[in-house]
Amino acid sequence: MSAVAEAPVAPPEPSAGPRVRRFEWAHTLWAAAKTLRGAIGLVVTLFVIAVGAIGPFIAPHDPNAFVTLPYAPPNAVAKLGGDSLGRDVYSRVLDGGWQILIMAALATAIGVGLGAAAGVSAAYLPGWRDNIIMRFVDVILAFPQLVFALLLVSVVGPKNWLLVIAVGLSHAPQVARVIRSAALDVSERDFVKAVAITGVPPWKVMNREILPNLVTPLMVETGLRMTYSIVIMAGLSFLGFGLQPPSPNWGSMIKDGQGGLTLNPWAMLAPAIMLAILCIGLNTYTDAVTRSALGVDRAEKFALTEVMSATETGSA
Amino acid sequence: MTTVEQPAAAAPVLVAVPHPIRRLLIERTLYGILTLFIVSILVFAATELLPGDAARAVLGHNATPIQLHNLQVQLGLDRPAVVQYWSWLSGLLHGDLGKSLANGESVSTLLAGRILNSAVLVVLAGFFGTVIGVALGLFTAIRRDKFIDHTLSVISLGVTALPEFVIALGFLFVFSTNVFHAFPAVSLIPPGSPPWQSPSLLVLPVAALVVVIVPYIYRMMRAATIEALESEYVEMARLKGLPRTGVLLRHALPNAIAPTIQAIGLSFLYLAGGIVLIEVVFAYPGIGFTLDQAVQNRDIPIIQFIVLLLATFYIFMNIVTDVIALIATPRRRVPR
Amino acid sequence: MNGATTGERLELAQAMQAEGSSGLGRRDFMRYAGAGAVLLGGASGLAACSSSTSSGTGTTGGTPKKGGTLTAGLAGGNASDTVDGQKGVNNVDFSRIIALYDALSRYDINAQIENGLAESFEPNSTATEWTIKLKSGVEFHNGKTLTADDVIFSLTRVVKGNLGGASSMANIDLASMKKLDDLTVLVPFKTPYATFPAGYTGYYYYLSILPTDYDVHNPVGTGPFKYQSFTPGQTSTFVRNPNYYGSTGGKGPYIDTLVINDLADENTQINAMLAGQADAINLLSFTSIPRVQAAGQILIGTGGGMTPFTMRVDQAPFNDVRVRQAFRLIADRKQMMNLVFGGHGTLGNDIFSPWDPDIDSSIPQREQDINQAKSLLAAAGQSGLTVELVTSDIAQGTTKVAQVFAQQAKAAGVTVNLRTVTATDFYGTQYLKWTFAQDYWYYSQYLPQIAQATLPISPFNETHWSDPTYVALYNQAIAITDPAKRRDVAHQLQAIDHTSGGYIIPYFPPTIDGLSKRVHGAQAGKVGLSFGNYSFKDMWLE
Repeated sequence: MSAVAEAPVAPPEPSAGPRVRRFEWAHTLWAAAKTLRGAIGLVVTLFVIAVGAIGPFIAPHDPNAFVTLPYAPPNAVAKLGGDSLGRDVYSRVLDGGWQILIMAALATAIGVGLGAAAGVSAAYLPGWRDNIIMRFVDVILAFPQLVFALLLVSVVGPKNWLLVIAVGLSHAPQVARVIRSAALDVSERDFVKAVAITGVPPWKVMNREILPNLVTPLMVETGLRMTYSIVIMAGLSFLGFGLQPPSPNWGSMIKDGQGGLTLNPWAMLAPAIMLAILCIGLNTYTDAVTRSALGVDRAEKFALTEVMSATETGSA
Repeated sequence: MTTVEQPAAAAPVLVAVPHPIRRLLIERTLYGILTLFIVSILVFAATELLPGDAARAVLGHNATPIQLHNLQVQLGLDRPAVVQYWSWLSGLLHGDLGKSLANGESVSTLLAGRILNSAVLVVLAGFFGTVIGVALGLFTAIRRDKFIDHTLSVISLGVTALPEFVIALGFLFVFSTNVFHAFPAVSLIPPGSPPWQSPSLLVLPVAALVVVIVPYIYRMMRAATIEALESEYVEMARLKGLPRTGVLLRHALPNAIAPTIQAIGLSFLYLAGGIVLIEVVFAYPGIGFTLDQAVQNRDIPIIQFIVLLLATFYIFMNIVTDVIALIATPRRRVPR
Repeated sequence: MNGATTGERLELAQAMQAEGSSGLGRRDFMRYAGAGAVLLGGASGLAACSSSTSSGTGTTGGTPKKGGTLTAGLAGGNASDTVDGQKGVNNVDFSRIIALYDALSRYDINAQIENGLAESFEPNSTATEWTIKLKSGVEFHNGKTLTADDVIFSLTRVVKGNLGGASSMANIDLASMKKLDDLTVLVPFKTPYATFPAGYTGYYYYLSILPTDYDVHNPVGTGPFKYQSFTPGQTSTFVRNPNYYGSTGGKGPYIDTLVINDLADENTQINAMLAGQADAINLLSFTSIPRVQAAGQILIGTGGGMTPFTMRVDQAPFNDVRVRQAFRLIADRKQMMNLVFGGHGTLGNDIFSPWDPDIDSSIPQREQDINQAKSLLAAAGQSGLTVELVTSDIAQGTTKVAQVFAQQAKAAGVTVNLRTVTATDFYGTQYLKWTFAQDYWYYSQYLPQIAQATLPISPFNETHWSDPTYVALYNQAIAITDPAKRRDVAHQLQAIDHTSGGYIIPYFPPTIDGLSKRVHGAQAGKVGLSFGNYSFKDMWLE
């Protein structure tokens, strides 16, 4: 599916010259954190991660214990009222983040890892291998991401490890596309060709020369994919195919709370708000990182084509 | 002037290609069919692996083993997988979409109304989303870096981050169940009647979808317009003393259109995926909602058909978008 | 609780709740039970068991008026809906079947057997032959008169086709079934079957009487409504049968047209009623009661169908009776009812068929006893046991009850891991093989239920219960034609069920239905079917 001639913006250019500045990625991250948007995004994200990590330890009640009446409004026992079975919404919200965060992080790692491997290989290895990989990528890209994950999950059932793999797999093609075009850039450079001529095996070239120059696009991709992982995990849980009861997690709590909106809106609002600010914070910070890496206007266009994620930058 | 930035030194020099549009169409269509074929295999294989027994789903839990076996034979579920696949595929190509496992009715009868319902949502959301997005994009491009521009930019950043079901639930909360009670909380389209006869039921789902896609269109339009406004071509027009609006509309806009059209096309793709969650939130009887239920009921022909339909739509929209973008920018028909 | 009036039942239910429940104060539950319907916090509260609900008070009384269209928005249907009188599977099917057809006998709203198309059932002395006399002058919707031929055709169709109701006719001697005259049928069985009418009635909506020329595409029955149109999974339209045999004495049907729509879920149903698009909605959760009451009426049936926990007595750890007994003692039944059903429903004592006159009411009600449970588990060497409970949304509240039980089990040191599967998977290849799961039964009388579930030959023996003493007692019971003597044997069977059976039956779930303000004549029932056995024929519109 080539978008002939329309490559709205190239992915972030790998740094010029044969060597990368050590820890350049860290500099970019820090520079982003110093901007207003970046600072706000980072703070919000860290706050939610903190809630997710520490929450289970400071919850006043066992998140599965029945402490009040079903959908009871906020009262002395339950600060945010009860959920559909009278469990403490506040405690469940505190306990409801870490599973999604960890699973989303794992799925992102898998997705970016697989996608980068596929993208770099497709860019560097000759001819038909490129085609095969990208055709495979196209097939998976023919589904909306949620539908693909849904299909996989419905085959095996909602097991946690499968959720991670399914979501990770659904990321890989899009990462592959972006990394491939970035890697194409790098592999055309003289220093890479110079190394290749000396007979170093391809996988070493890819590992040692190409990959380190892709740190910036990888970083940006990771941030974006993380946002999607969270969104899709929550969406799957909302549909009932994600994490299973009675485990509290924000996605299924939102679904559970929808039935009691007129009785205790907090059952739905509390997890929804946590999910919302996590997504917004992470997205804002990732946007700041992209700007810091690319400059404002290019970052804008990159982000757009990135999230559209169906454009192909210069392949077949 | 376009927004193309070719990756440096990556594109080889090519000769001008005659009839580039036709060639593109043919190439992409053939290629799309190949992809669809592979997709169909994937879908079929995946659904065949579904655990759970479709025959049980039909007969309910009072079914005896004899009844089950008879039904399985009747539905052809006991044939080898390859035979079933071929029979399904050839049926599809003849317009026979198979029969729903649940009740033997043909899939096309069951889904025709629901496809229409979803199509209405997608078209309406696409239309309003485009209009609003383009208008906002133009507006903020002119008022670049002013307060309104920054505010909208921040808001849109927030909105794109949110999961769409959260947006949909937000609308539900504010406009239907808790704050205002202006709209019904679920879509009560009477069975058999077309969705436009109940416009109030369409408002919230469409609004949610519009909110999901407007940020992309608006941002793309804004970026493209800014770039166009800064081009030499437009500079020239201004230096010639042409009025500002005229410059905007006649010189900048046409060049900003192409990438925006792509954004719009891609928004339709995003809508196709987004309708699953949003239809579920509002219990709107479209194919997204049906897919969710079909997965729960293991109604395999329905799952297969809807997933294949979405994939086809995806591939088709990709082709359409690229062709339109190509047409809209004459200077880019020739790869440089 | 047989024969108790609704008022008495209400008071009983309130008294039970007033005793409080673990972890919740008595005062909290007075809110639920309170006469005068005290509301919880703000305008939206959960006012259960208030006097304006249930048993049709507010809907009965007044003179029935003829005419109008009643639109029901029912959940539980799907694309496999049918109007075949003998092939129904889900609740919406049954609502349609009960409208279009009739059976030889059926349940009244108190879950007692009443005659339908049959005038009488007479057994011979050995209970191996039943003579059924039909009512005369009954007409099918196309004008054809009901005769013995139709009954023979209908029963044969079920047995030969191995349809859902076949299990209650298990021992029928089809070849020897014969017509004695136009209105009399002889139904012989290969072994004694003294409980045939009860067995038949338990499945009456699977055993409709059809005409010999029955065509499902143009279905004809003897029911209060006539078929007009039907789209499975979506809607059906029926019209009043002016020649309904049951209308004598000024009884229904009263409405001109009955429209039944399949709606996706509770949210859709409630909104449909609020928008005026549905007059009758079924199977609501108790948390929806305030919203529906504000706009219409609530009908609460106490229910007799069950959603038990099932333990396989032939597999570890449940092959040790002490473990089963311990699990039964873990359940805090009132807490389950309170949290999941707002206190509605009927308390269960691990014995099914609560409304059967054969039930021994002297058996003491089991209560939660965690200490006893722990010592039983210790004696069985199963302290700190971990089990998997398979749960599914096969009926209202089942997955929630599973969560409640899992939480309650922690107090006894038992870890219950929940495995939630879809209903389709639940009834898939593993159905009846799960070690520890829940299930859903419509109401049957006691002895017929045994035939379905707790004999080695039972088609749905999910607990794999196989006890020679038990089987001998059962065989003895079904050969006894004297109900009083049969009851004694039934009591002995119940003693075994209560002590060592594989079921945990903590409650019988309620049916909570909603009606718009203009509907009258509806009564709550005990069978577990909505609207008092989907009795649209008794409803009229103002």
